[in-house]
Amino acid sequence: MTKDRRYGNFSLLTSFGLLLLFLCQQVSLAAVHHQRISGSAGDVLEDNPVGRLKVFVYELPSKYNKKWLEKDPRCLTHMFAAEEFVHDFLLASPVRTMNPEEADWFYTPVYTTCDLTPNGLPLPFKSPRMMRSAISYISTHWPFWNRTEGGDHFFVVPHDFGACFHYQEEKAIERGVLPLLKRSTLVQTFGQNHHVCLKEGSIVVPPYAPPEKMQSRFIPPSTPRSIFVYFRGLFYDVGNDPEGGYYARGARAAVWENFKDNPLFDISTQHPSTYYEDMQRAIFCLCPLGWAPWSPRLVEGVIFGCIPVIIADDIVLPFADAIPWEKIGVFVAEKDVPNLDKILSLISPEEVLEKQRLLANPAMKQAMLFSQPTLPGDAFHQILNGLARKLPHDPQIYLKPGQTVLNWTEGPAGDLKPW
Amino acid sequence: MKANGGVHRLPRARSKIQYGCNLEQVADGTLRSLTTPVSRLTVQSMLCFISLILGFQFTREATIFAGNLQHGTVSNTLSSFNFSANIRSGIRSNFAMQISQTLGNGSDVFGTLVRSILPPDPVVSELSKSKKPVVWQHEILVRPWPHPDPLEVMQAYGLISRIQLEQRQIHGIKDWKPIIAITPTFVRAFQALHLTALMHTLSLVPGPVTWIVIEAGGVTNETASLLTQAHVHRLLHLGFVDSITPGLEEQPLLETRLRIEGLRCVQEHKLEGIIVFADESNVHSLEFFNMVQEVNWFGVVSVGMLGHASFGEPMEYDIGALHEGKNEEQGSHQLSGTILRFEPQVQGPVCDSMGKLVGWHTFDGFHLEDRVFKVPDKSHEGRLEWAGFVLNARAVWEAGSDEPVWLDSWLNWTRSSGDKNLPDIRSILRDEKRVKLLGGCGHQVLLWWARMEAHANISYPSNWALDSPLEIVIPARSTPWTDMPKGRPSLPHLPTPSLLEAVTPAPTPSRRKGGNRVRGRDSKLKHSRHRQDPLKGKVTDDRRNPGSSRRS
Repeated sequence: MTKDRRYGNFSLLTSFGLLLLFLCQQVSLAAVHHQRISGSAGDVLEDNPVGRLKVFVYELPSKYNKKWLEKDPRCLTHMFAAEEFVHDFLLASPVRTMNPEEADWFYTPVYTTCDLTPNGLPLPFKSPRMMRSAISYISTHWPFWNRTEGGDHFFVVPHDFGACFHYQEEKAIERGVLPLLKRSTLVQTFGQNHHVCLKEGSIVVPPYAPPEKMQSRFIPPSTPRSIFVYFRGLFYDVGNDPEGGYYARGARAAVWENFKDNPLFDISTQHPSTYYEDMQRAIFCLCPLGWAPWSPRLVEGVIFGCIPVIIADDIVLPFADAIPWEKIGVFVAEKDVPNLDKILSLISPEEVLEKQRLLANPAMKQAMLFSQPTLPGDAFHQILNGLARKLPHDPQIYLKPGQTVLNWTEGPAGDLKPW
Repeated sequence: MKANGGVHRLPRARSKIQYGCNLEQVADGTLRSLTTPVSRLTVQSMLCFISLILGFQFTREATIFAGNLQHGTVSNTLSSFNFSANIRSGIRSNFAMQISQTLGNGSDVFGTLVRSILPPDPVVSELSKSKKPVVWQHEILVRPWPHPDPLEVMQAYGLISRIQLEQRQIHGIKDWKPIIAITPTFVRAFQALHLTALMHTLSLVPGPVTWIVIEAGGVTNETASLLTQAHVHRLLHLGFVDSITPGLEEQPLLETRLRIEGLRCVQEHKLEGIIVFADESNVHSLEFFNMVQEVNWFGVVSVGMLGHASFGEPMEYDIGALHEGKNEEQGSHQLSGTILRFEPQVQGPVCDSMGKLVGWHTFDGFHLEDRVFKVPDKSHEGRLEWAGFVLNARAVWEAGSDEPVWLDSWLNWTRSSGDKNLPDIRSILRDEKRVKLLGGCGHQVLLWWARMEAHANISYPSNWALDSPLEIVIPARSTPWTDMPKGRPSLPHLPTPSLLEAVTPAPTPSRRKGGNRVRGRDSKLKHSRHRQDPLKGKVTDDRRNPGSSRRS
């Protein structure tokens, strides 16, 4: 009897101790988590992905990638150039492995945004078919796709609405994410909460901005910042939205109508040659949504130390799990745009100085750039860090042989034509 | 939101939402007019059917709204707009429209809608498509008074100044050496113009400034009154008893004497800092004061010379002759064998490729000459403006340092007032090692020299203050505009006054025809011009009936 009681006491004690331990761990984790973010713009930015994951790069025929580049080299300079640069980076990276059996992630280099109009805008009409064709290629030539039906594959889809492959939001929502990519990880620039085109587990990256072009335009940091709010861009898209109210959900037009005569707001549609220099003389840079919520202004603002004022409801910003955007930028709801001047002038100077200090952190600036040659902590490494954070894979993604989840005939009929 | 007030009522056939009441009223009215029960029944069934459709739509909106509320997205407010839009466009009767508009305005959560764009008719599209459109037209929100609020602007400027202060502290120059600015001045018409400009510049320098103002003709109240607003660390207003010779030719002589006097003052008070010869009419960039902080003993800067009439004129060069020498060029035009080059009017040091000083580029602003000469060539000396030289105050007074022999010789020169040869400022640059070429050997021009003076015998009110209002107007001597005709300017389509008098006899005050807005006789002459207002087209009338003002 006493033995049992002792055992009972002992087990009670051990369980209590384990509970305490567990609680302590949680608390400490929370404390560490809090500290990490409150540190210098997130210490997660400085993680080194080498050694934490292995990526296998499929060799696709050049019609999926190189032929497009030969046809139009502008693909390397527009804001969707991330897909080309990620490919080049992975080919030369130490995380690449030639042995697919030991790879954690598989990358398919298909340039879906390289079909450009004469103006330089990408046409997404052939992209779903191209993607399908690429996937069918890799599924027939390698066994790894069928093993997981894409659960451990990732694709770079930097176009306007990601893997919905359309530039018009209505049509993109109608199409939804390409059904074959339902189980894969998507690396995209588009990020909006509760939106069809942002899949669970996607990695949001910044749009491509040429690093040399920006880094050659620095002015001395002692130049006083005398512009309060700076913005250059369209307010009304008369060509595509003649009535108004569709473009940017009316937010950009609201900015113009409310603040066009405000001396604090240096806003205009004229694109000056001193655009980068002016950003360095400004305290706040507006980053309102356009047809899609993301814009290269965020990258430019971070590089030039101008606090981004993000006017895009429900936006998911790049590397949101590594970069504490609330501490760095100012978020303004679209309905609060008429009061933007009041909001910005009421921010205390200490807060503004703190934000500027965080922006001045070189790790922060590095993380937004796809630098050539690659530097530690740049956007490529952040993508790999993001992929490494998703490891180890959930064992459920591995399918039994013969089991299929994806429906290859799903989607609009136009997509099913071979490419 | 008022529109949500309708949500609470259960959709029933007869009393749906507030607008339903009106329809019911209309229906009642029509019902009462009908006599047969059959017609009554048909009308009733029609109404029932209509309210069924509307109720179905309404409940769908409500469920979607509730669903969005669950998700807690911002789009719920937008869907409420969609909801009110549905009401707006779904009802076709007149007063129902009014009610829906008031509903719509009431459902406006922000209360700031000035401009609202009606979305396209979603009812029809909803009935035709099975999917709900998710991209819709949004309102452009403009607040009722979309203009800056002065308090907010002040707060924003406070923020800007705090941030700039922080920037200066982080990136600015540490250990700011005090600036000693020596300014010669004398009372004249443009003194107010130049001295206040310089005063504001020196007040903005982010560091301590000792301003030594030496006035020819003794200390005067006029100058003192101009200097009262100076925010400098220390102000020394000295008078140098000497007669003023205000002619433009003698001005450099006078100024040099005053400057040397200023140097003597520095020696006497043993002031510390960097001596800058800030002439009143010079324009200084604030970066200039940053640049001179690098001086150890002596410094040389480039001065942009804004000359008189001939500055900016290009000079022609043969292309062959161009390949020697000039290292600074601003722009050139190709012109068949010759090239036009805009020479920079800059006084400054010229260096070789090693960065050593080999000569000076001068531009005599007073004599409009442009010369280049090498250092040992003393014969062909252009005058160098003192503004381009900066020295450490210790060089002037420190015993044991480079003994200011030159200062003594200069002081001797000032005492002997007959000597017309100006002392050469370059005599302080004997030791080349101690000379610092600032601004990348003079490539940065942060200081400009300009001389703008009024006529020597111009009269101006003392202190530029008028005690009494202007009574007598003395016509200024001025050149007439060459392209304007003499006499009073007159518009071509207006008749001259003499013609006017002949044309218009006095109208009787009681007659007033419509359109012929003639005033009383007394006002005829005074308002004659109004009558001839071309906008009202009266001229043609008068021309048609020259003898009378009455219209037939």
